[in-house]
Amino acid sequence: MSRRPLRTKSGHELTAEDIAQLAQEAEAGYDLAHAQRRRVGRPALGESGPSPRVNLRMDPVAYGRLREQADLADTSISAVARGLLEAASATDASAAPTQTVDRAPTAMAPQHGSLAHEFARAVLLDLRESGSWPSSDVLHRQIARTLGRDADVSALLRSIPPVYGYAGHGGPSDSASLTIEGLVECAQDTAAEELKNFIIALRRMVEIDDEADDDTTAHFDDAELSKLVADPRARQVTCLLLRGEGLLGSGSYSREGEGWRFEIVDLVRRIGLVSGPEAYLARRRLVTSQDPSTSLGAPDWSAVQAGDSGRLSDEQGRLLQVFSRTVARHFHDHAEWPKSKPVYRRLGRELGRDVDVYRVARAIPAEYGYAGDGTREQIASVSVLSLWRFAKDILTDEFHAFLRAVNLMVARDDAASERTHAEITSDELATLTEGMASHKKLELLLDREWLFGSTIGSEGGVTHEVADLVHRIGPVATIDAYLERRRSALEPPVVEGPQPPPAQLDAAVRALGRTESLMRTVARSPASLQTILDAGSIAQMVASLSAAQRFAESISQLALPLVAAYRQTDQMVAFYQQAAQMAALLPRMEIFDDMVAARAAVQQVVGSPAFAASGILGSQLSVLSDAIARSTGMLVPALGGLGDLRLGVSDVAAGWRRLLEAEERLMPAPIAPALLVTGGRGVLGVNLAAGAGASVQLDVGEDVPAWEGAPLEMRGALLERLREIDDVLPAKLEGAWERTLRPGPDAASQAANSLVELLDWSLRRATEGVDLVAWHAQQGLRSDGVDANGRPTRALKVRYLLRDNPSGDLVEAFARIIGEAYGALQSVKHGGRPGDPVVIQRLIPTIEAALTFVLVR
Amino acid sequence: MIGHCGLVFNDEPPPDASVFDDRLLFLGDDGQGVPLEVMALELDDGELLVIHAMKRRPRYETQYIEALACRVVP
Repeated sequence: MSRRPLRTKSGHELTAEDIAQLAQEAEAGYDLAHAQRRRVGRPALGESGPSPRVNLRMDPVAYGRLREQADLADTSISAVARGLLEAASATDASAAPTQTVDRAPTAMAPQHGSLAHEFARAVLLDLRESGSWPSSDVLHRQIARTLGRDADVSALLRSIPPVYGYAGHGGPSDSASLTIEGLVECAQDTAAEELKNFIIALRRMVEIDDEADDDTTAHFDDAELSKLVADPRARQVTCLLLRGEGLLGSGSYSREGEGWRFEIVDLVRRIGLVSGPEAYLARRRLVTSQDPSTSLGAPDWSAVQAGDSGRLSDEQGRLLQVFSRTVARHFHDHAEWPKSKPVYRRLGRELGRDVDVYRVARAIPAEYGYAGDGTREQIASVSVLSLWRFAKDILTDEFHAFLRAVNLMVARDDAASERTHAEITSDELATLTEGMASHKKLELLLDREWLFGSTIGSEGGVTHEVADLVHRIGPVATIDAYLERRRSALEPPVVEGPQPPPAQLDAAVRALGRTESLMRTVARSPASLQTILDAGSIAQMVASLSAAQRFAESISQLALPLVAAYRQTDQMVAFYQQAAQMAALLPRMEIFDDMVAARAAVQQVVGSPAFAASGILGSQLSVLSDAIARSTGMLVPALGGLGDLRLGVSDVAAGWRRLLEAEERLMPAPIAPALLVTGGRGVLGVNLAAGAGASVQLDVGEDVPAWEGAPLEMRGALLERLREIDDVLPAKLEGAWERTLRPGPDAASQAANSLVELLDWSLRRATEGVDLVAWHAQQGLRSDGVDANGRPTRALKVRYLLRDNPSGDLVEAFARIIGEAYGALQSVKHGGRPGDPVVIQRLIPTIEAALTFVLVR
Repeated sequence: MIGHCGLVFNDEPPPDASVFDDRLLFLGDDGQGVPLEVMALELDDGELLVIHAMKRRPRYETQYIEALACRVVP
């Protein structure tokens, strides 16, 4: 018997070759960033087309009876209700129960409160029914039916405060969502079940996090949740609410059949055990507040003078004891500083749930230690001051070796001629480490105390430069003597006149100088680029920027209390003391000139043809960019209250921006996403991110040479051109910036949506009325100009708009940039989990640059 | 798995393909909870022809999580 040939929906008869090719294609994989999403799985109930959904509210008692009926009949509530409604509508429409209108739709005032309630109710009902957030167009239609034809639903829904939720733009691909605050404020009675499940799940997550090892990441999985919430639909809803609140980190599906598994994020620990929704909201507001006065359990360090370790309060002593001993144990056992994250976890356990570890740890003064930012990317370290005071029993051998090393280095410094640097090798240090398994610990301690100037790799070993601080400390007999000598050596001068700067600033300046030197060498010898500018050398640059970061910490420690004291005129004594310390640091602000010089050298390197050809350093440059952003991010808050000092900081950020702009122009094909992201950190990205964090308005055009203002002028031209094309386009761009600068639970997706619309609309409107397909055929361009449905692609629109541009390669490069950026945005927009607004923010300048190239004449 | 996968990804065919129908990619789990990726074509009679099925690869993780939220619960 012959089989009927297989025909696809379009009528194509499938051959064995077709199927083999399709299988091969599927095995290679698809880029789903551009794929359309289609909801499936709910077939129509009859033959007469799609089944409209009916949402109705019920009295709780009647709802309970309905549920009982459904249970008895072993069916769903929907099925029972459907049967009743069908029966009622089929017999006699006039016999239908009189409808009780509890709110006249047209009479409903478009007031904020009632609208928010309506919004919350509609989203919640849909969420319960489908187990997913409703699409924005469905929600808009539902609300429109309630409010009547005269209401501008889109405008009204845009007025819903983001803390309540997100109504979307009204499109089918956009989802609406609700926050817990929205549920509590607008639908608490209706959402009692959902809120209860949310709190139950959150409490369990806190317990799991408590039970996890310091070194492992805690996970929350389907099996755990199913013990708490039996109904599968309710479990889905609980997951969506947890995800919407940002309490679930990255997740994956277990192959062992245990269901999905998500990482428990740090915010869960910080929120801790809460009794109910209101307690959750209160705690969440506290831990995410930027206001230091709301800190939970954070000791006040402002009263502790630098080096005055004898006057610690019980609270401070307890914190430093736990912190120092945690770090010391790891240091002793592993010969390295621990990652920041496990240290935070240990602090959280020891200090209790009433303490917001993330704020407490970050406030530890630099002279006692550095706890990092709570991630695995940063390390925590402790000064000898804290180690000696709180962990001397753990590091006995290390302290003996440390003393021997300091004295040897002092002797070496004394013996060196005045014109040469004193140095000491790792092999020499190794001879002092009696009783220790590795001399690495000794080197880490010396480095942590700023006793090394720089580390120089040489044949057969490592040589350390002896820092000037060693000379000032001199020979010491005990750790106490060392600490006393070090404190006095670092004590800021209070007498007038030029004073030697603190040693750590010297070290920071020297480190930057080395980076500058390295990069100038590379710039002079592009041929050796591949061997010199490798990951290791970039890591060295990052390390030198870390030195600048430590400088920033010093500034921060001094400037913040200074500003606080200045605002309280009754603390003038403290003000003068702080001001004297600050004055000692000010001459070293020229460090930023070194950074700008180093950046200029980097710019030369990146501009060289060899670099453009390599195209392999995107991720490393990204690391470097992060280091600069971190340094700037620390400095701007520190200097926020001292307006005149901000200029140097904005200069650094502006310099880095120019460097990355240069890199974008030289970007080799194919464009790696990492490079796109790196590039996005350019135009205004660093400035705005840092400025937003400090509530400081950084005007990059202020007091800068005219050529530095050129990028701003170019951006102005883009906005003007967009406005010419369509009045709404500049708002799309500004809207994307606004959403990333004021992040909410769905900020990344909303910003991505604005940018997708910007790209789509601007290209479409700019080519309106042009028969692109005919032009494509006439030009004989490559096949990707038209899609499978015969519609012009974005790449074709770019080619058309740049048809007079003689730089063929650049035209293709920008067509690809727009394609890559569009794909990245689509994946965030439809990503199904919260994206990172910072990533989107860093992508915006790339889109601005591409649109400038394509649209501006 | 296709029965309870609530979200399907329609990907356009590559420019040089001989079959011009959208590729339908389903991401979900089989009865044992094993995550799968399944590619199918829609035929003229409305049926689906499964071309490819294998354990889900990491490249589809984001879309898989997106599809999870839409899964049709029996």
